[in-house]
Order: sequence, then C-alpha cells, then structure tokens
Amino acid sequence: MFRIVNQPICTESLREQVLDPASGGFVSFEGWVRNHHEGKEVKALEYESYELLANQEGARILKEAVEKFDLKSAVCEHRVGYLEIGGMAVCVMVSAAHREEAFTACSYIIDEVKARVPVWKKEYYLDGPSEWVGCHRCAEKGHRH
Amino acid sequence: MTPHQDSPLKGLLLVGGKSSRMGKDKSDLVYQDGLTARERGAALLRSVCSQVYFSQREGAGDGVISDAYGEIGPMGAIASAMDMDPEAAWLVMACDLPLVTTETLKLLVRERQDSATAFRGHFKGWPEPLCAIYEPAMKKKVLAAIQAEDYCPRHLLEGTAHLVPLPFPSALDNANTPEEFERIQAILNTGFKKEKRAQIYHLTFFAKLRDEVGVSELSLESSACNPAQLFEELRETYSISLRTDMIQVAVNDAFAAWSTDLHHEDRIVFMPPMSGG
Repeated sequence: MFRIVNQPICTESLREQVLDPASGGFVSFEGWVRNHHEGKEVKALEYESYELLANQEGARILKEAVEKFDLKSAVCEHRVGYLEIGGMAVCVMVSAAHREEAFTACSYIIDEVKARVPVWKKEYYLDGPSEWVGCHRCAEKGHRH
Repeated sequence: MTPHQDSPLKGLLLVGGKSSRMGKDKSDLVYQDGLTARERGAALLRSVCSQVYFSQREGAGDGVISDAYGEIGPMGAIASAMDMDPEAAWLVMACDLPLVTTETLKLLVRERQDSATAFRGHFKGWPEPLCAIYEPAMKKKVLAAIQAEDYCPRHLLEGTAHLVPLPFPSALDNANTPEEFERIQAILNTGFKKEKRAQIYHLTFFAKLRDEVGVSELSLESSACNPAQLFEELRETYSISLRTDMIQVAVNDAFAAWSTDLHHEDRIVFMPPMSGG
C-alpha cells in the first residue's frame, strides 16, 4: 500500500504490514531530510503532493514491483508538510522469499517514486530565499541527488 | 545603433542536427500542411531572404553549404556561410521551430540592427541564437570564438545582439523529443477548435507553477481544445519560467497527453518536475 501522509511516518506499523511467514528477507529504505544540497546549507524541507494522483501512481509502482520481483509485500509512505533536518520524508519496506529480490525491489521502488509520483519539495536555506527543487534531471533514471 | 539594411539578407536553414533524442531526423518531421520541417523552414526563409541555403554536416548539392569546421554545431554552420559570402547578412534558423511564422521572421527583419538581431528567449532573457540575423560585422567574432573553442552561439550574441521580444510565448518553441513533437502538434491542431464553443476548465497548480501563477486554483472559460492549447493561453497571461518539456499533464486525476481532447468542466493540472524523496 502507498500513502501520502501529513503526520510522522510510523515505521513500526509499516513493518507489521509486510510481515509474511513465506518471507525470508526484509529490506527498508528511509529518506531523511539532510542539512545540505548542492553546496547550500539546508535548514528544512517542505513537501506537497497532488494527493489523488500521487496515491494512484504510488500504488501502481508497488504493484509493478511486487510482480516484477516476486515480492510477498511492499509498502511506501511519503510525508508532506514541513520537515526539519533528520525528519523522515519517505519510507519503503519490502519482504520477499530471498534477500536479493528484496534489495533490488526496494531500490527500484524509491527510484520510481522519486521520478513518477507527483510530490514536490521546497528547500529552506540558512542563507537566502527558499526554492522549489526543480532539477529536470531528477526525473531521469540513474540521476541521484 | 542604427538600422542596418545595406547588406543583402540570405537565409541559412540548419538541417544538420543529430536529432538523437527525437530518434529520427528532425528535418523530415511533418507538422502541418504536409510539409517537412526542411521544406517549411526553407519556404519561411524565402519569404524574407533573397537566397536560401541549407547547412548540412556533410554532402554537397545545389543550395547546400556543408560545414567546414567539423563537429562544433551551429557555430561552424554560421562560419561556413560567412566564408561563402562575407558580404551578406545571414538569417540563421534551425529547422525544428515549427511555430515560427512569416510574421515572426518579418518582425526580426524589421528590427534589424548593426552586428546582430535576435529574439529574447524565456530563459533568463538570453538571446535565441538559432532564429537570428548575423550581419557581416559578426564574422570576426565568430572566427575568434571558434579560435577560443567557445562554440556556443548564444555567448556570441550576449551583449552584442539587438534583442527583440517574442511575438507570442511559444514562437520559438522547438521539439527535441517525441513528447514535445506531440505537444506542438496539439497546439497546431485547430481542426475542431472553431466548431467548439468556449468551455469551462478547472485548473489546479502545485509548487513552482502555483507560485508563478499566483493562485492554487483557477476556473476559466477557454476555447482551447487540448492541454497544449490551454497551456499556451496561460503562458500568454502569466510569466511561466518552467520549460514545457519539463511539465506533465493530468486530466481528471490521471496522467494525460498534451493532445488529450478536453471537455466542459474537466479538471486539468500542469505538473512541474517531480521532486519527492
């Protein structure tokens, strides 16, 4: 299940959702707000989403991943709102029979979420005005910030 | 600066691009009237120039100026034309500008000044070098730039060219990808627009686009028949800095193509590049 949330992500309850007796491997990814971006000091991030479409597209990505990598289960939550340094912006959790598929699928899901789910972030800097992050290359595969 | 009309104006159509992102030769694309980009570009240039030449990377033929400077792009094409006729002023135009019209070129010619004349582009107000007039006086600068290995013709025009405002926002939009080709074809699609009365559309804006438009929601009456045409109406009204090739469209909460046929009361969202995670 994919969800846009405006409250802190609860990793315990997400983890419970992917527990599965047929799974031997579990992989999770957490995206945190970091204090720097392209040489600038960041003090906070603000996320917003086109919630209806974001939830649809997120669900499509999880379904793709489950089929492609033969997962037992996959979940993802993306936070919106104002987040301070260290805050959790996104969390992906997957379970699979074996670890290899779990690692690959987790990485696949976060890459696709970043490129395809309508979520936008604004960075607040220590010096200077805030800015929407608009790197057009972010949407390209293989481009990692 | 003074109006400069002494040198004859010749046209140079750039058809030697690699078209790598489009996946096929951009000069062969047909946008409208059954003309290829190459044929249409040449006809447009003929409407304002005494003679028209094709700039190609290689090959020869009637009206062809082959690039004598190797793989350095348009700068080499401009230099090759100036070598062939240093007395002429050159109206240099890329063949992948499907929204250029005779009126747009006439505007540029009317504004002709010493050194160079170009349109001021959307991005940072920089000159658009691939629909611009290079007067004979530019030859020295062109050769010096090549010598210095600065092959960007925009650098050449910055601070030098007389800049003319675009007649309309999409006047010099080009298409480098199949998605952009589809968007431009949708703008040009006026087939059933005339029969349609104006409809009400509901728009929602997010992130950078909301900041630029100034509101998060907008309902408007429009005769646009697809999102591409609707977006052009927004560009006429608001100063939108985002490149169109970075924008995605949703209609009624589903991803949609620029050419989607719109209906009364549809909900449309133009989305800036996503930046989650």
